[in-house]
Amino acid sequence: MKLEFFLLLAAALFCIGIYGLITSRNAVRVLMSVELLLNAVNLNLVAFSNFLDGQQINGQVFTVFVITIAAAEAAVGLAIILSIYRNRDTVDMEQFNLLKW
Amino acid sequence: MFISIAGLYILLNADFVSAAQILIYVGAVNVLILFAIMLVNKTEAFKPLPRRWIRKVSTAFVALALFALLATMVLQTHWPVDLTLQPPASSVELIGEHFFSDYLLPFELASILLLMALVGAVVLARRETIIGEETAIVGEEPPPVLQLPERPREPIA
Repeated sequence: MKLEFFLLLAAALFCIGIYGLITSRNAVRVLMSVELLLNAVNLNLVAFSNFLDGQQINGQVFTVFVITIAAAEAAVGLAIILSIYRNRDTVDMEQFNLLKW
Repeated sequence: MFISIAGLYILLNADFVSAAQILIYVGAVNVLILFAIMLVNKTEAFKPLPRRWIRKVSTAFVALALFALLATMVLQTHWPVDLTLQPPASSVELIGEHFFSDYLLPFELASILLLMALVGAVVLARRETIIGEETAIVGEEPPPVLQLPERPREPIA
């Protein structure tokens, strides 16, 4: 069990999340990719907290905060997607141009 | 995937975070995503975009380059890992002490943010119903109302 393995896994998760975030056109898949990113960050925090800060586990406290924010973000993101879907009748990310000038 | 990450947390001596991960991600976020898939259930053929492959290839390149950068950084850095220290006996007590001593303000801010997210999600996702426009017809049987009266909505642009 080494620190590098966890960091590599977290980096791989993060890169997969970025790829899915940018290339997917379904809004729900974008939401899932954001969850992937947050999970990668959480894994990094817990790994560092265990290996480098074993006595005062500050990283786990941060992880709990990140999980909280992720839950709130998922709820608000789902509400936004539902509202857009009801108004525009599509979930295509390319057709969401409400904030364009 | 969420459950396997929770298993990794257990391997990393983080039992409280693992339980929170299972409860929140597997219990709540998964259900939210399933609800999203269920409510937005439309097989929709997206219009093909011109030069979409450029975006895919460039994004894959950027992601792979970022992974290579992170991997070299991880593998080349000498981490001062001290394996002689024993992990604390109960991480729950330590996390609780952190929450109520030096992380008290972020803790309260997180609770307020959760409340704001709750109210905001309800406001965003509710349907606008028409209240107080019931037709009062005496003597006839009113037709059974099968759905909430909803304000007609024209799609934006």
